[in-house]
Amino acid sequence: MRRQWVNLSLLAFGLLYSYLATGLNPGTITDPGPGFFPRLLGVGMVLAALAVIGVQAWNAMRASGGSSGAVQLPGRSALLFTAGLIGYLIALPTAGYPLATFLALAYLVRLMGETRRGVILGLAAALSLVFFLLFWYLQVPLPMGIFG
Amino acid sequence: MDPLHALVQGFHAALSPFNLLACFGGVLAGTIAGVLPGIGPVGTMALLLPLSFGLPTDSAIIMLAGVYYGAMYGGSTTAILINIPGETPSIVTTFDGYQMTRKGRAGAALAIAALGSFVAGTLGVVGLMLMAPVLARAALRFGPPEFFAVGVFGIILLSNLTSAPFLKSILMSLVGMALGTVGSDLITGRDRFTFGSPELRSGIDFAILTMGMYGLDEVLSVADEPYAVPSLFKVKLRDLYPNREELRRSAAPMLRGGVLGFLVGLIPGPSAFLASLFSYSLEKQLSSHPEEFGKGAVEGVAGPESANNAASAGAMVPLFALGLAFAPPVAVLLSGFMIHGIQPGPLFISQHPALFWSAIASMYIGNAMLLVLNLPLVGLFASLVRTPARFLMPAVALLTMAGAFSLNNSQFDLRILLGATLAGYVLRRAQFEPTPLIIGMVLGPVMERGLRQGLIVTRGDLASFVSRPITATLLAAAMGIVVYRCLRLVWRRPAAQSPA
Repeated sequence: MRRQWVNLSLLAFGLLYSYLATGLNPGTITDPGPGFFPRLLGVGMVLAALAVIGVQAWNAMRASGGSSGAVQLPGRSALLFTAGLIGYLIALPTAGYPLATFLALAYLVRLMGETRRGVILGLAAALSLVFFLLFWYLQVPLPMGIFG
Repeated sequence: MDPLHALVQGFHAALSPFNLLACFGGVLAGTIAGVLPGIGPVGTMALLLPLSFGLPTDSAIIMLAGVYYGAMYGGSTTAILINIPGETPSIVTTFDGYQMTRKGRAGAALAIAALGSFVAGTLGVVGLMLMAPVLARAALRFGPPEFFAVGVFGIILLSNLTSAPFLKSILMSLVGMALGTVGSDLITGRDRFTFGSPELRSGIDFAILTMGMYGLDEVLSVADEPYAVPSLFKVKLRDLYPNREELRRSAAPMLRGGVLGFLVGLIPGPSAFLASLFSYSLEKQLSSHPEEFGKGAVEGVAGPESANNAASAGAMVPLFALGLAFAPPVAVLLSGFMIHGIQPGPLFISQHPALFWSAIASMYIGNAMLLVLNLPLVGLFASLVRTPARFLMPAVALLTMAGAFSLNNSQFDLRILLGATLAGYVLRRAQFEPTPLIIGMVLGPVMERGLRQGLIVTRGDLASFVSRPITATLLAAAMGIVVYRCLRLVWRRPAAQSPA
């Protein structure tokens, strides 16, 4: 079961989608409504997910050796990297693009293994400025936060 | 307007200073994306999408298209010099390209790859220029059932051709189609799966999902397993000349690769990779020295590199003629059109001839630019791969997030982006490919509209729905693929890896 948690999650998604689709009007075969296609998709997803689970379980029983089929979870670095991006997302509206980007870059560069403080801060500052100027030149609106 | 006259007008527009700059920016970004590991053409195109807002429509399309075919050039550089393919289609180039480097013929390999890419890329554009209007005129006779059938066939064929197991690709396609139903219903305008959220009312932007599953997902992978900075084989400018024998042996493979690549590019899926693989097999079959393949045969570089470039042009035919995207880079290009209020499809060429022909003309120009860029600057591009991951990945990640935010000025999109990133990360490791999901999101609305309108038109008569020749042919072909895969599943011996 543990090896199939992704497949089971997709099955759960299919079941949830199918359930939510029942709240939409399916219409008739001569005049399909907004719920018509989603119901077909829901059934298709559930069947496909069950087939994937079944075939994978069947092959796991019959296979001799080979890969365990276990899904590798994100490693510590990837999780910390993602945490940094989530922090960036939260800080963006308040701190504004330049400051949030500077802080996020400094954190991520440090996380990826750079140890020289001057390089971390210098690179973060330079890239934040370059990105900001690039988006400003292309007239792409970005949140300015405390600088707004 | 006759095609030649239209093409001349197209060149006139494409040669404007601004469009030349957009073309140069696109091919340069594409080449860099092709060279650098962890960054692909799809992520780069999605990243440049918000930056294209401020550009005129033709400049935006020229730039985005330039990234796509530019990346095909860039991927060969590292494949030849350090045996690391910059992009998936360049995997095949490593078979003989790197062997040529080991024999001291790196410069010749790079030159052949660039020349082949130019020749075949140009051939591909000729094919696009000739075929797209013809297919568009034929597609004017397509009704809703035909579009539904094209979508079904495209999804099934794509699922058959991806590297992931067939059933898993089908499941991903269905998930993508389901995500495509979020928002307002196309026919009644009724909200579906929005949970009262105003952001979800306009649907989930597949460009955001693309950025997450192709851009940030790669960044996370590198964060987990940073690549080692490779040592590079140095190539001097004066070494960039193939000898007469190499040129003679490359000519026919380049032309064959161009034709084959263009035709393969028309089909859904990883067409550039498939084109390079088919071309390699073909050249090995036709060669009078097949034993040289895998040991530095110049045909093994010329053919595949030509094919993958021509495939990128072929992949654009369904986009311009039918308004359908069968590959993620083309889906991003479709998004670029829609952002500027243009809907590609059967009427696109007749309603926007200036845009179509300036895009075509710019591809000729872009291929010439790439030939000029890639040869003298090959050392510079190759040295980019030495950029440490600890500098490159954070920059790419934050640029991607800023780009995603600016698409719709929405924090909500950033949440979708991060969710898609984590989902893509986990799904890839569970042998699910994101490509069918993205294409499902793009084709789902087309299929739904085709099915519902088709049923309305035929008054629910499924027999007359499927009796139309094109519909019947496409649905039968799709069914044939499904039956074939099911039979393979039943007769297959137990294997270490799941075939599901």
